[in-house]
Amino acid sequence: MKSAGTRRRRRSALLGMTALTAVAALATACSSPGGGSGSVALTKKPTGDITYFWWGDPTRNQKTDAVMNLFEKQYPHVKVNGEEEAFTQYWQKVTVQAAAHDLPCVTQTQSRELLTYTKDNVFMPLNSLISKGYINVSGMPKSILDSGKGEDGQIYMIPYGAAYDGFAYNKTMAQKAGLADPPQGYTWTWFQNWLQQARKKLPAGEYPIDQNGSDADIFISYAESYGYSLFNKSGQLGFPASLLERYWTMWVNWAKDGIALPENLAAQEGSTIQQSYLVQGKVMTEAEPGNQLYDGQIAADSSHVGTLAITTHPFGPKGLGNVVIPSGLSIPASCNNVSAAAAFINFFTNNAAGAKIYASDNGAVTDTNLLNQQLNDPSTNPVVKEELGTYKFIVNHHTPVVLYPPGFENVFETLYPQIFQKVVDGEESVNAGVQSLFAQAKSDLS
Amino acid sequence: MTGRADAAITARRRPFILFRGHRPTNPALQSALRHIVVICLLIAILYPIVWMIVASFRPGEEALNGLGLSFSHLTISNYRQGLNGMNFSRFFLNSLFLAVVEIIGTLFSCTLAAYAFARLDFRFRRVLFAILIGALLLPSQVLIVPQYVIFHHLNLVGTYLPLILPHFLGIDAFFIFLNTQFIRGLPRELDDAARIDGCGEIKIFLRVVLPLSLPAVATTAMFMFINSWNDLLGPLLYLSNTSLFTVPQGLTTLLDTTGQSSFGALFAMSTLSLIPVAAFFFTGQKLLVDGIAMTGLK
Repeated sequence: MKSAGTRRRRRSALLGMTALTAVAALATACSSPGGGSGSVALTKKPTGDITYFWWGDPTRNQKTDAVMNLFEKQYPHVKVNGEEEAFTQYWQKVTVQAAAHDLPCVTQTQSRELLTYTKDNVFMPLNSLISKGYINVSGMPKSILDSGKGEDGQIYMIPYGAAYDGFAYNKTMAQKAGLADPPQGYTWTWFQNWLQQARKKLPAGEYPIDQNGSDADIFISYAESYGYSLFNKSGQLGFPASLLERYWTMWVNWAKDGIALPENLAAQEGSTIQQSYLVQGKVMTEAEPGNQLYDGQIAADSSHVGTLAITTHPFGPKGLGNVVIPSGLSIPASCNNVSAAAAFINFFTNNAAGAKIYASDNGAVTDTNLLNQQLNDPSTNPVVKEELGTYKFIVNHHTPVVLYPPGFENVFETLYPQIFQKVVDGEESVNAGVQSLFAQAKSDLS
Repeated sequence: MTGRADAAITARRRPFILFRGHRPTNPALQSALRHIVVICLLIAILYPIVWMIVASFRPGEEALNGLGLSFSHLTISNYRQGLNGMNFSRFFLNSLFLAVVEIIGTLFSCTLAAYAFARLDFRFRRVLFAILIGALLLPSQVLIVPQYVIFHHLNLVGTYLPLILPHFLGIDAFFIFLNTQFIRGLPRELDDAARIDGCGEIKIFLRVVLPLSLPAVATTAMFMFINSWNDLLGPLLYLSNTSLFTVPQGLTTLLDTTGQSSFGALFAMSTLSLIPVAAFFFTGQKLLVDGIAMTGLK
């Protein structure tokens, strides 16, 4: 039989738990959510606070702060709170914030990740802001603007910086080997011959090209240059298996012939430009984003390996397949100050003084007038000018617009390099590897 | 028969000799060989850390030059850049503050919960303990979004509270389990003796059980400090203001795959971030040994 003391203790415990539960429920009920509904009327004279969240290194962060200060001078009644993270950590945070509908009013995103956030009312469509004149996109090439569209055809992202993947190469190393620079419009065949010539003339321990077969972005260009889209309208792979077999066979043969860096060495390469073999003088050519050329040259100068340059991916039978990967700004549906967010996006993408400060740090400025200004400005760094000039060449050609479906990253950022590595190591044949990728992509992209 | 059985047993017990016919019999030589093997292993394990420390004293642009320990000249510019230029001194203080508060919260909640599970008899005790064990199996990633949503609705995002509060509410199932098992090993006679002297449960906990649980408490504190000091995801999700950043967050700002990375400063600040963890470990290790040596039964 329980004692009176035990009964009293149990009653107290029960009462305590009930009280605690009630307090928690009350606190939750009384608290208001962080985001707003965005139902406030639009105005071209915004007030209030907004938060701008972006990814970048300390240099870009300083430039961004300077542009934010310029904006606040033009809009003295708006306060912009800046938040920044490194690229990898940025997406970890944005993913969770998006799930909680707690994204900052101006959220940076990229065309490859955009479609993940155009569903479930995470980002708001910006078409009405554009049509009503709150955001001016008239100076942007259509293909660039289209990269900010969702599957429903509405614009969810205003691109402000267009990156592209190209082949960076060491001009000094090429010249020593008696090789000419790749001409504009060079083809895959020309490229192979160029690398083979380099193999004959480069000293031992230096390779014509890094092992970039696992870099899916180059394959995207390859497929587009042969007239195939990466994805079809239903979000599945849009190219034939034979194309990928031909492509992987090329890289496997390059590895066997000593043209491409051996896979075991490539696996030890770091992920930043400063750790790349290109800036260490171990390879003559390496796949790099165009906006990394400036940082790469700084690292190359400290290693004394020579002058770097960048060129597009090679042309195929259907022309240039280089895909542009814009970064841009979006407004979440939960933003409670859409007017200020729109004003900031408009300023960031169109203001000349801001563009000069930012200096195309996250890809070439997307406004054509601002791009030409930077190209013609004598104070623009020559390395940056080269990057911008290559971008202009790409954009003046057909720039394919790729809608990256959800699941893209799992297939092409994870699966693709894993399977390619097995193929180049000889664990799987090219045919088996391609079939494996197609099989797994079918379920991941559905 | 017995002789053959003994020989078989002796044969089974004979140790494996790698180099037959050359087994060293000199104890000094055996000791030297063991030391050489251990030292080689130690060098292999410690070399990356030593390399990082040496690289932190190289000029920033030479930080990644080779795998050797050579340097053209020593400089402390990386340390100055990190501490002053990038406000790392603030990050260290933030991390220290969070670690201390989280340790206090964890010890407060986990020891109380452990005492309840180990010593008290209440309805659903076994069910709740089974749920606790089940919580150990739950991947932390499952809880990230729901927890964020809760704190977002409570308007606590952007403060330290989402990082601190849960530790006062006993979310660390492993530490509760650890302390519960330790307390269960303490003799109940001590509790009875205190009860006879007029102590209630609280006094028994504070005056008898807790002092005897110092080894488990020290272990909890040590691992909690390491977890807190190294935690990146929690601060990443909940802290946006740079002045509130912790050391791991600060280190990520030095390394960016889309731009310039400051490897020299990264190595310098990483070196400094090792010091509190190492110091805490060595201090706690002594406490652990002393605690184990202590016993309530003479």
